[in-house]
Amino acid sequence: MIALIYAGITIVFLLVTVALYRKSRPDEPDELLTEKTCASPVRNTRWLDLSERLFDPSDARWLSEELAFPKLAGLLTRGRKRLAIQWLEALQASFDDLVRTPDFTPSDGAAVDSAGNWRLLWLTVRFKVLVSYALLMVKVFGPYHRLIPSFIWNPFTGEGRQRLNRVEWARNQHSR
Amino acid sequence: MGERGSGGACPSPAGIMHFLGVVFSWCGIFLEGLLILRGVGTRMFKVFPLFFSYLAFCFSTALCVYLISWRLPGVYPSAYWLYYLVTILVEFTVLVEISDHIFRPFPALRSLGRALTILISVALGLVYILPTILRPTGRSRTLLDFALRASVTKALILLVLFYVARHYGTPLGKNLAGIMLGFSIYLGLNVVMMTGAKAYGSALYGQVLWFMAPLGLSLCALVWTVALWDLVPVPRKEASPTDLERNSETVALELTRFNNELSKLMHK
Repeated sequence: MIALIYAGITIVFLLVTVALYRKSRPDEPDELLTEKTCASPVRNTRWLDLSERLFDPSDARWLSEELAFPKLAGLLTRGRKRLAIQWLEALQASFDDLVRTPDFTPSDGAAVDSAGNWRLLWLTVRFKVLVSYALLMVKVFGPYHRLIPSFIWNPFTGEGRQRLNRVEWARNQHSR
Repeated sequence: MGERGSGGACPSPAGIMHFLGVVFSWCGIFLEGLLILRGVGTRMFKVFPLFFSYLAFCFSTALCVYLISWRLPGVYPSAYWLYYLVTILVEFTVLVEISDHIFRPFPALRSLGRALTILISVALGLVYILPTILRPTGRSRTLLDFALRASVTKALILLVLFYVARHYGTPLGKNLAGIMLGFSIYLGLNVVMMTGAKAYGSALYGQVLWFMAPLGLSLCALVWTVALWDLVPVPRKEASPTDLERNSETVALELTRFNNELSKLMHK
């Protein structure tokens, strides 16, 4: 049985390897490389300001609490959720474009394993993990949910301590 | 290579099978020697230093093992096992060479190949390979298991590297793609042979293993010789004006900016 499993693994391995090899033949220009790269959205301040509006719950809250239109507020939230997902995906696509841009400056062999390259890799992996997490959170909980869990209940965290101090201060003011 | 001269461990057949095994074995050694000479001639060893050092190791140790089997047959079994074990580990240098070259054009991903290789090697080394050494079941069986699992690990690393290269649209170039394809064929055959030896026993399987191992080596060396005969530069897309402005420093700045924007969003 084990022999069959390993034989299967080998056949699949060789087939996939040959398929991937054929796809990455040097004489076939890769469509990913020939695509035109769009301008980086992080340089575009209007594009960045869009995120302020997309992830801001005040409009939906205003509709639901002040104007008492909960259905309209729900509709707005759903629309914003769709836009927020598109915004995050666009950010990710533009990041991938940046990552896929080759270095045209001549480099020597010593640069290959420098600490700088590991730092760049760390930034790349960090961004990929964070954007995947943000996408998951927006898809599951919507655009108005906190992306980082709140530790306000914990008095040992900075956030919790600040809140505790504020409550203490308010209590003192009230007692005077 | 890993299983060259497996006849030292398994009963060697007589007649045509024996002859085929010896012929394939010498073919592999000849192709390795030819590739080393060609690498020196075209100065390709400077581009792929780890790969050519691996080839030099294989070539010289194979000759040494043959010399020992001819002049000192008493020492041969110990020498063979030592050579066999070291080769299993040394084969990882080919993966390191591949991983170093695969993302070289992209500053942001330059260390990704090595990171993946280290990560998969350590993870599978601890979970999958190490248990075979910790629970020994006889020397030859332990070695067989160790070699099999090491080969599966190498095959997995190669597959992941191929996939990630494809995902990021990395142009591999004829030389690197050839190294990867040759090594894949060699690893695939290795896994089949090790599994066969494990399933049917070395006595029964010895006859096939006798010529299959050098055949795998010769096929791999043939692919490498064809792919590395000339130094072929990796094809690159045409640089746009914005691309020409970009270097490692500007990419680092942009990556930091992307991360900062996302962090700001996360902390809202």
